[in-house]
Amino acid sequence: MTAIALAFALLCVVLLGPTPAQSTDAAGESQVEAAPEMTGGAGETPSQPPLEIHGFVQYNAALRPFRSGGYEAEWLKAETRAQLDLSRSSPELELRAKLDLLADPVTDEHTVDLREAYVNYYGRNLDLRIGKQIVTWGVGDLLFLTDVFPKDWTAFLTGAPVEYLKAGATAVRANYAVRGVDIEALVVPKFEPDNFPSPPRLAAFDPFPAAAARQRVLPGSALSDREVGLRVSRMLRDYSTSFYAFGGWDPRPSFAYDPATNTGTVSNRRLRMVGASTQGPVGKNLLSAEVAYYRTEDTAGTDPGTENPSVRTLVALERVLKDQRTVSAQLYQEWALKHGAYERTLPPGSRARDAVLSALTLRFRDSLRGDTVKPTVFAYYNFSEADYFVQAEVRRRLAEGAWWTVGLNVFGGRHGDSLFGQFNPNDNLYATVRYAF
Amino acid sequence: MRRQWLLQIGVGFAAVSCGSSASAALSGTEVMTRAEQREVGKDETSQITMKVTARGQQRVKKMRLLRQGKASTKKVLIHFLSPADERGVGFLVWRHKDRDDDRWFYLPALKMVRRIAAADKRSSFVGSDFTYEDVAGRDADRDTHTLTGEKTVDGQPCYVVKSVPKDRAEFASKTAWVRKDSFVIVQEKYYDKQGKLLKTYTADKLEKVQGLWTIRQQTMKNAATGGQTVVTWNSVKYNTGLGEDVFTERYLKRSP
Repeated sequence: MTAIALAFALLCVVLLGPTPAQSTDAAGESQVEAAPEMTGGAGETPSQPPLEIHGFVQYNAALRPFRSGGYEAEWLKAETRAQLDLSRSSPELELRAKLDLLADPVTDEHTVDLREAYVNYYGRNLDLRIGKQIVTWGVGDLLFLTDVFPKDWTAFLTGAPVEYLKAGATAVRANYAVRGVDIEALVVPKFEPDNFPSPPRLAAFDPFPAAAARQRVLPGSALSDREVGLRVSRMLRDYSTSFYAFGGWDPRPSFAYDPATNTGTVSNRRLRMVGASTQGPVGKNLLSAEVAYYRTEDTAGTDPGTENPSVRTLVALERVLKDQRTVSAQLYQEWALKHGAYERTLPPGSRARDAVLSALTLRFRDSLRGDTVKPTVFAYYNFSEADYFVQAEVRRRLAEGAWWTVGLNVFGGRHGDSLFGQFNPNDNLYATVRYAF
Repeated sequence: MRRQWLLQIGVGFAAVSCGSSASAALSGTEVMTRAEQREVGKDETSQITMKVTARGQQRVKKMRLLRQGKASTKKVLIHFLSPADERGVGFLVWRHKDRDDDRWFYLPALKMVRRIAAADKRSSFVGSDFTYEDVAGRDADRDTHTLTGEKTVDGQPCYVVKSVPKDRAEFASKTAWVRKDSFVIVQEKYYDKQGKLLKTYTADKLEKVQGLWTIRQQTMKNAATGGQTVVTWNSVKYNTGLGEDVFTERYLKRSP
């Protein structure tokens, strides 16, 4: 209800709010003007900018084709979604609201999802964005080291377009540009958790006894619960380089079981993260590298239900083979810094994770028939946990602004409690049709 | 007196002859270098429509283009305005003389800026009949140029220059018709090793905007597929004072 009220309020602002200046050409077609300092058009008389209405209608369905691990062959979703993307903008100001209306008889979900809704001020050096917005950090391909912002894994792992992997965060974000350096600072008043696959429809590892009661504890909205982030970026020679710092909540949930009350608690613990990334050419290849230090609440490493403090590294290479045929590979490693303490305090019978987790990903993508057919395959394999994820997809243009996609997701692993091993029964086929306007 | 008068006539005749042969004496390399370096303003703000016709279907893309500099040092920022599913997608290119271009793209739905690996310059630009190199520009010194004559195109005298790539390229040779008055390439034909026509470029509409010769419409026809791409500049403004800071990730993320 709160989301609907906020959405309605923002729609009113967009539709009825101040109308910043923007010029139109003789044909009445809206001209997208650059910022005032870019045009230098002395003597131009600003006129009212139009309300821009865009969006799409989309159908996205996913199917578990075979019975697996006690889960039936069944539809995982059959979602109809309509998005309205409303905006008014001028060189200095942008108001935007992106609203999804969705209905899914399979998941019995009929709701309004406010994807983004923000006011954006563009100054000479300072940009300010206030409201619900997508924040993306880092250089990984589906591997997130410094990007600790909300994600919807359920949507993505059941075939939603990749944009739905990222969920919006309500934040105040300022970007200051000076002498080739971009300084981005953001404050998120209240933590928003990731959305993970869960029973009864989707398989996921449950660390608690079957008969245990379960509770989900989320960080509050006290001032001390806010999240803050800082990113400083600049070109260092040919490399786009960024440094990151974050203080807030770990998006990876922690698990605690109280045998006295037979209650399992899922919560999020505090996280401090510092990191860096760089991306640039090495010969004909694109090199990407990222590193992040995670200082979790489990500083001693003695709470097996909370992630160990760790250092994460990523090195990736991407190369264009011919035309737009591209291959890329990523090597990801995660170094647990208190592994000894973790092993010593692990409950008897529990499986110990390795001190160093190593994973490799490969991606192939192409663009055929004049950019109208786009196949892509992504594969992930974790050597330490022996688990894997493969996504293969073909997108094809139907008409102007319309396309369809078919694809499949395959999960597996030696252990039922590993990242993708737990999703073993969730292999699915999916299809999407979208008409954008 | 008579000898001096004859001498003056002789000097004058020599001067005229030298002047004529100086204009006719331009080499193929000089013609193509002047074409590459012709005045195009310090910067440009344009709205462009690209119509791609292939396999009996037509696709239309509209984009806003910002440019600073020219030839091998130019910077270009493009944002797509349509079709709806590509709206807001952005490309940023920094050209370099001595190495591959730096390129970025922006996906508005993910608010994500990513560098792009050095592409095959012969690959198609967003599915059109123009290659990436056609759009970003091909350095004149990558080919060996020979002036083969002069022809009239649409009533305008043109140099005709044949060019052969020094390194591996999408074509084995090309012939360009370059207007003598403006050094605008008004027609270009590309051939394969067997001399078979690969594609034909024409500058369909040429006019002066703010005193600068400006191509307002150009076409690339693919002889092999029968397809064609027509690019129209709906509006063009030069020298609006675009700063260096415009051609950065910050502005790439400001999709229209």
